[in-house]
Amino acid sequence: MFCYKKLNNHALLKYLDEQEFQAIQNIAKIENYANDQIIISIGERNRDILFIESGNVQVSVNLKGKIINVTKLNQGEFFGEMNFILPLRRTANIKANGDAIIHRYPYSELCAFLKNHNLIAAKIFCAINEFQASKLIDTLNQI
Amino acid sequence: MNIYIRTNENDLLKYLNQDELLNIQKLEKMTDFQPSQMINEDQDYKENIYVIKTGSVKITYNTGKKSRTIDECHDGEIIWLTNLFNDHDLSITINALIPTSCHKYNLQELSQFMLNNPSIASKIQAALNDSQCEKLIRITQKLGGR
Repeated sequence: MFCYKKLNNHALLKYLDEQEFQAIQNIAKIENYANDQIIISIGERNRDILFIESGNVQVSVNLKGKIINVTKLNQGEFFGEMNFILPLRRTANIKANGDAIIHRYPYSELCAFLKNHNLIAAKIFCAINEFQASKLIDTLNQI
Repeated sequence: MNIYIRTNENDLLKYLNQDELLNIQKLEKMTDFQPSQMINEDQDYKENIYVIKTGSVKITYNTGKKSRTIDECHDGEIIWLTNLFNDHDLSITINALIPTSCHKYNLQELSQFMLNNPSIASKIQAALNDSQCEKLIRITQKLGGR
């Protein structure tokens, strides 16, 4: 269903051809993080999507007042997409686990870009849908 | 998502304008379910997307010996899509809670339509993002006991 051809290993941009890929990379901000440096904090309102270009990150949540590490995300994965979709506050802390390079797609620029590029928008939203489906299955498997 | 503006009550087609709606409604069929009737009992379910026009359905997740009601969907909502974006076929059952009338869209026809109409495709994919995100939040809260 809704199949676009996978053209690269970027989890968010995997369906984009080279030209589309370059076009959206023009809005990405490249950020370098050192070990333990905070990338996202619980409660923040920003709605950017972030992609791990290299390294990995630690995700932790606040469970009854205790900060618990829940998972690590690795190079090639993205995060922050739920806040991009819905206007929520961030629900997890994310910090660099070792040195990491992050590509940040700022919310306003990304929205403006996608509004003017329907096919790219469809391909990126499809990649997000697949990712969310996996998350839903992982969540249900915890039952 | 703040890129598009909602124009109607159908969660799948909510971002389409009047002309786009007229185009896609050619693909739409209606189907009715009686209370307790199972919606996903045959292959037909996997070949279609269902959006509730009126009514309610219950989603039950089956894990071996246990079954647990994990969600309910109501007017306007897209019913759970177990295999739309993932080959993993979840063991869930979907039953009507009350008399329920659904819009039904054949996946193949819809996919082809979307491939030919990137503007409509982006709006439908965005609507699916919203729907999955809402379900994920509801499930996480439910499992967390909140």
